[in-house]
Amino acid sequence: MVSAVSEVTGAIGFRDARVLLRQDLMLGPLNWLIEPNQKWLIVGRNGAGKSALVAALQGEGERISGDIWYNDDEAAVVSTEIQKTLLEEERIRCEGQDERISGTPVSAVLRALSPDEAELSRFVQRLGLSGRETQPFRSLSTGETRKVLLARALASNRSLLILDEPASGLDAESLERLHQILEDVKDRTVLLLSNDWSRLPSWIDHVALVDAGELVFCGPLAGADIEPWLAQMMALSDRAGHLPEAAASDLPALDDDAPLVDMRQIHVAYGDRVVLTQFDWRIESGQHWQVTGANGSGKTTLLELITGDSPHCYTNDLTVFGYKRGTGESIWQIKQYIGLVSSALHMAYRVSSSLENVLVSGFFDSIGVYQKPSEAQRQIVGAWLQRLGLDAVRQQPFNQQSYGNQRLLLIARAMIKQPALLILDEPCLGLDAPNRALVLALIEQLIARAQTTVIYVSHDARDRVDSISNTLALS
Amino acid sequence: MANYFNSLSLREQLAQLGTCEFMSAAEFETGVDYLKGKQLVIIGCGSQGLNQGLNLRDSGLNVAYTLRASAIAEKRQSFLNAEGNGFQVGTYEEMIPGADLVLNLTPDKQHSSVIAEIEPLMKENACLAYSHGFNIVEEGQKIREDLTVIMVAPKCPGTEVREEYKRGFGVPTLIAVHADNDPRGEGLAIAKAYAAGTGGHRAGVLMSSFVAEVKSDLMGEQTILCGMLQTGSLLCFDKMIEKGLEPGYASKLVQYGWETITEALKHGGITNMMDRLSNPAKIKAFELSEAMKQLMRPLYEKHMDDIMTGAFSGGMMSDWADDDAKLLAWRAETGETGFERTEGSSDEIAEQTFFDQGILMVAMVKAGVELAFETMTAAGIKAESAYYESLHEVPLIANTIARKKLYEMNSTISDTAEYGCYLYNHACLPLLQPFMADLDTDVIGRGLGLNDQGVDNQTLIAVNQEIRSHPVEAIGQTLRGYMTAMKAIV
Repeated sequence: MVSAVSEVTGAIGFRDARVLLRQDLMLGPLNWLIEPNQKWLIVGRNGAGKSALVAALQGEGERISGDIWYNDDEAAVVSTEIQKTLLEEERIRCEGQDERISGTPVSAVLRALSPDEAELSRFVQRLGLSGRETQPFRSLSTGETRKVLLARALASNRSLLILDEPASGLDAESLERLHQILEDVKDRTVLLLSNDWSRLPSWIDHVALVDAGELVFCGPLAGADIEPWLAQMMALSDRAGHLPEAAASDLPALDDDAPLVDMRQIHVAYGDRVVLTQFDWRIESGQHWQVTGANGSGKTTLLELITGDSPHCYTNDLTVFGYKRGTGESIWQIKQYIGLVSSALHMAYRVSSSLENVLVSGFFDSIGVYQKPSEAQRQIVGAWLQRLGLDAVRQQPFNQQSYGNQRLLLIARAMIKQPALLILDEPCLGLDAPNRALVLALIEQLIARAQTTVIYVSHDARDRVDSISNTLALS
Repeated sequence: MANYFNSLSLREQLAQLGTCEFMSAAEFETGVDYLKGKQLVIIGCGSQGLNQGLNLRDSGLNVAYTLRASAIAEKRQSFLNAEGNGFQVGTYEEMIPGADLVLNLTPDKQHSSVIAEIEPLMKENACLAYSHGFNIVEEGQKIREDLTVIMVAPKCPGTEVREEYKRGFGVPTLIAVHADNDPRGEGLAIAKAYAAGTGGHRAGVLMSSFVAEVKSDLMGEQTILCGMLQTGSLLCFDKMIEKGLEPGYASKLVQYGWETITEALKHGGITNMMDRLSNPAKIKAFELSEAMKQLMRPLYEKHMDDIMTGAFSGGMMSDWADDDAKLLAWRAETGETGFERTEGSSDEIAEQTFFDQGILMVAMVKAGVELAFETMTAAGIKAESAYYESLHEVPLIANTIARKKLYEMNSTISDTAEYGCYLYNHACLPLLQPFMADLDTDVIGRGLGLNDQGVDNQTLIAVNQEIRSHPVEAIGQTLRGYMTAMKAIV
């Protein structure tokens, strides 16, 4: 049980606390006091234990010794976990209904933490959500649902904001606005969890460093000599190497002269909201594309038309890998040529599976594994695990990995069959600097092998891939 | 219309009840080919209708929807579901005449009137598919002789049918061909292609008959599945309140207890569920279960008998004719029970605690599953059918209780299930009252005390032997083995 906020100071935190978070994860002894209105950056690499630390603060796991001060009623949390849980609840609640037109409206999700309409509408506007209030929450894009969580947390009267990688899924402009908003937050405590040291927000005044499950440092930012730690933590690990081999393919060969994707006069609307109209796009083999556009500009819909995950692929003039959609082809005939990473896929990857099997599933375009992989496929999986530096933990459950490690695995899953078309929708979300560099290197290597055409969506100017020369900007 | 089952000779009744065979994956090698290029028209766009249609279209088949003209004109949810997903939607007159395969995915209650409207519109030699055979077997609906009549019944809610398909898998599915309506002998080929189109062939398909499906489905849903869980929830909750446990805690223990307990059942049958208890608790649960089986056996037999004679469906259909008066009154009553009205507390309950403090709940699941299975097989239903309609589905119903308790369970299950659950609950609650009077919180709510920790070796050996040698365990092991072999490494 976690004690309420320390009555003497109003602080939250740990004193000599040891917490058994999971059977194999003991934290502590932890000593960390967070005084009211402090602004903390909690920084560490993917899988360092940042989220675990905050979970322990929130009373998860079993406290073995020491004290923990925390008051859940005073906290507003924004995290991928919360986002996932809300969307999953909606999915269950609205069984059998069309997600694009039915479900809990955004306004109700916003009001769940605070009924203060004036505050809410202020943040709705500042985060660019105006006009979305009446739409079903689950019809929004990943970036927009993230903004809804941010808006309701900011508008609430909770004295503690916990923002776990809030930038995930936000476009550059929205991220900038968020930091402007946080700049103005004075009378409450903020905990910002991030793997990105390079972008230290100006409003931060305290820092906690997490590495390998330990709180390495915590204290005021001013005068903290943490550079050596950071340098060591963030050093590019020695993971350079070759791209693992591709398995021999028994797929029907594609016609080299035909485009991979041919869209003509695409029109997609949900209710009254037009997402794409009179839109043409042709993707030739070997022609790599970067797609840009703000949250809600229709990127996800566009990619789902290609992957067959949008029902509108059947109502439009669309040819993918030579199949005119809706003429008797199955979705699995399409998917066999595609590797995909997106936030939607990440959320959908809910089955309990080992890291190894997550990679195996890339050969079968499935979530979970339902077919026996060949020996050659197993060896390729081994090579990828090695390349990712995850071979030692290959049997561990996927859903207990950090968000960053999960993302890294899903990227490798998409690449593993070296597909004709690789669709990477914000692949680097949640990845720290060394892992971003690894992913960008892998993309370059795949492109160099000339068997794969890449569609790449990124909000982050740092994550440019040099070999991609075509740009599609959606507005 | 006369009850179809009752019109059969005993010889035919037994033959159809005994139809049940697990099909090998090789039988589905041609996938959906038999239906390629044919026009599929689905009647109804609720959970099963929409999600099966999405899967069939993604498998390369040509799918459209038909709804009552009023549903289209008023843009009801079913219309929005179909239209919003880019399907062609039209009235019966517009869509049915062009259909090679008509999939009737409306609720049972509407079948008679729907069939009366669409049958004259269907083109010659087309095929009519059901997901549940109630209309054919219990209402005795006769279908035009030139039409093929089949059944494809995924054994999961519609959303799961879709979710599993998107993952690249499927849900276990039962198929059947109506012997009276297979004029060209193509019923099986159509049913196999349809099952493959929904992804069911990846998770295992059971070849059944309309009769076997209906009789076993009715029995399972009204006894162990919905009936036992409803009755058990109310009894267990009230017992804990009587003994002074905190109501919020009691509510939570029951609401999530079924789900946690039956998760163990899903993976390893009754044996594994019982193995999750300590040895003394296991012996206690075994004794409770034996006592309840003895009390409830006549009730299970009465349910089975009424299902076989048609007395059950007759009673239900008169309530339908009375605008569900009995059912709706009871549904409202359920909403007012203490269990239903008590909000679960925010206490964390550890997974093992649900077993340790829910010994009686474990015993109820064991008694209900075994009795339903024994009664079904004694009535001529094959062990495979009996397994799917009892043990296999308990976790699915337990999930609905975990989501939103009994009121929700009763609103989401089929109308036949809810009516059956109503009958069961009315009989079983008073039946178990005297038995419950003798129980205390050691079996529900608190768990065994330190004084109850010893066991006698011979007793334990005998109890384990009884649990493991029950016939539901043997068939369960085989069928779960198929599933695991298909699921390979999940």
